[in-house]
Amino acid sequence: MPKHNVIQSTGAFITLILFWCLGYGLSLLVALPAALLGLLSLFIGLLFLGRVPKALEHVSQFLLRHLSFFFIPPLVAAWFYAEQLGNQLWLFLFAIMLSTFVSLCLTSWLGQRFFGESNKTVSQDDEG
Amino acid sequence: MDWQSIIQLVSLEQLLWVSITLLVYVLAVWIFKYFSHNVLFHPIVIGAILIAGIGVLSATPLQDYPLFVSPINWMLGPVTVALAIPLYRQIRLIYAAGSKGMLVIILGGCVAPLLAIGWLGLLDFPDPVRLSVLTKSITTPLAVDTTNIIGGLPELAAGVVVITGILGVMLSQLIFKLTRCIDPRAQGLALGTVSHAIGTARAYQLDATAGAFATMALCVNGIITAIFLPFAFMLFG
Repeated sequence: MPKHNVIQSTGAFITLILFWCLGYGLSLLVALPAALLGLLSLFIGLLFLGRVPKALEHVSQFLLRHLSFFFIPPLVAAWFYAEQLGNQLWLFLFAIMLSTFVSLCLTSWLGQRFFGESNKTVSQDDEG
Repeated sequence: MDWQSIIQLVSLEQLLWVSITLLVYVLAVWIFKYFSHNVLFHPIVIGAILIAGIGVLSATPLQDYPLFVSPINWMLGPVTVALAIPLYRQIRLIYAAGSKGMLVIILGGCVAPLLAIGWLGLLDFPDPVRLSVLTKSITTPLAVDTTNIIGGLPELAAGVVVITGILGVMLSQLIFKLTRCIDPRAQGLALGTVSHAIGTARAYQLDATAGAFATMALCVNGIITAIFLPFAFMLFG
């Protein structure tokens, strides 16, 4: 990677950190998650700018592609709570399964009705 | 802060376990690719199993593990902020999906947590456990923060989010057949609304349009839920 790319990527990452800090500052005023407020501030910033700087685009793409990495520790930690639930663990898991199933049915059914109707020519041959 | 305390802040164990987690992640991604992106072999699942295995082999109490890898958690904030870029990129899709699309996202975003907490409400669960399912359909960084604010258990919430994501992807093929959902926009909306980032990755495998709509749904549902829940709890909690 050329030298100026490294500097630009570092700058883009620091931008993300600064917006998170801004979000943290705002979260002291409004009871919302700091990361959410940072996200919204950056979004508003981008709206004003009217484009996404290239380095910021690359860095965020890289980070979001590897989002899974950040969730390995919480999943390991979740295991302890699962153990504490003991016999009730299955009832708890059932709640997650049921709600996921129903909401997925609802959203896909509604979505298909809404979007399927808007271009009927495409959705005529849907049996396949 | 002097140097001594900075050195103490980043201990040897932390350095070691962060490196191990990084290596495990690289390996888990490789395994995921090897099994042609089968969601059962999702890097989060394989990664957590490998970490648990290493913990047992090295006789490290796993309770200490989250403490050792706290530097990873510091990074999560700025990474969440990066979601602003896909949101900005897909903003035209919010117009394209229109009010009907928003209705799908909002309904889906409400039904999933309400059903889960309703079911748990019938049974004898402690309140913090119940509250931890309210963020089940939003992406983990937002879910963890939001759960913290409303008084749930963030780690449990993270586990619930990951399970919801994987279940959603596993069930999606069957459900799309049941509901005859063939429009890529509708498929993307459903996957992004219910199964957040894990569903979005799946949607991109199906179709680029589905992926873009899933990204948009993930951002919209995450933001609306993360705004709505803390306010609702402030007013009624």
